[in-house]
Amino acid sequence: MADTAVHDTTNRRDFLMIATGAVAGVGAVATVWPFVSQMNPDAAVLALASIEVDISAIAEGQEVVLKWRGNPVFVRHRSKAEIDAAKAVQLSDLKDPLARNANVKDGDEASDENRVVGGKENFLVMMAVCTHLGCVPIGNSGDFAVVQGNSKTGGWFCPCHGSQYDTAGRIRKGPAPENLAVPPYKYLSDTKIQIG
Amino acid sequence: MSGTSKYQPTSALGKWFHDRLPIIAFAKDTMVDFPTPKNLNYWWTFGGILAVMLVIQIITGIVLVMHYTPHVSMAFDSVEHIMRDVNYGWLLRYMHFNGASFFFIAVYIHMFRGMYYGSYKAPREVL
Repeated sequence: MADTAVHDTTNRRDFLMIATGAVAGVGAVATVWPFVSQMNPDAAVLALASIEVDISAIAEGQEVVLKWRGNPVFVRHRSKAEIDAAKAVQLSDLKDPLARNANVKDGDEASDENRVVGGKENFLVMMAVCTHLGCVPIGNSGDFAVVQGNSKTGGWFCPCHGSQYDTAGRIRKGPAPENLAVPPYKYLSDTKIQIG
Repeated sequence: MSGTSKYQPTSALGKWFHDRLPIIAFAKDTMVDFPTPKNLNYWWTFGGILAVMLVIQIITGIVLVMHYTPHVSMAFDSVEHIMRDVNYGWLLRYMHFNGASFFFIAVYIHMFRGMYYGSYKAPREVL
């Protein structure tokens, strides 16, 4: 190949080399594609694309963990103190300024209203997957929980690498790059939500 | 391999590496500059075909076993899961399934070629 490199115009061999390389590249991608694709959620998981949750059964201060598309989801009935604590946070203090909410526009700021749907701030629904390396954070813990006496409410702490989330699930401290993701969900009635 | 190697490291790093671990020269001498008789025909391609087949069987096998359940009452369902639900699971299983059969066909042709052309004669009795 070295002795063909110096010439003025593109010749037949250049064309053949590039054409061969292009075909080889397409072949390599076509070979790797199935092996990567098989790692994605399979049809059996995606068939459970949406779940309905009766949120009237969740008491104030209670948090449930549900399974949606193979991943855990937190649904938390927040107390007023937790909501107030989340609202009191200056947006400039946030590590990730974006809402990360599938139900609002992509660039929206991470205010407490934008972390929920329809301004219903009592219920916080979000993926229970730390945005750092995917562990499940522990609720009612961390530096950004509301302290009431000896107990903490709200706030999440990831036991793997110490990421800390506030009472709206926003990353405040630690290695995680993004706020906990809010999945697409909507209110079917006042007491029922559909995730997905 | 016997004989002098044609491999000449061009960079300083390549030379440093070659002096310590001549693995690139080994690969080039056996895969690129390997001296072969002019009269080889297509029956000799089956050795290379078998090498590729073996790699395919290993890779698809490792992937398939990640979706398979080796249990007497769950194995069938897990195979149906691979065929219907896993993305491209049908392709991976058919590659592994047919690859196993073609592996035997290629092995027999390879052995037949070795016996027919006397590839076992000195000095290649142990190759």
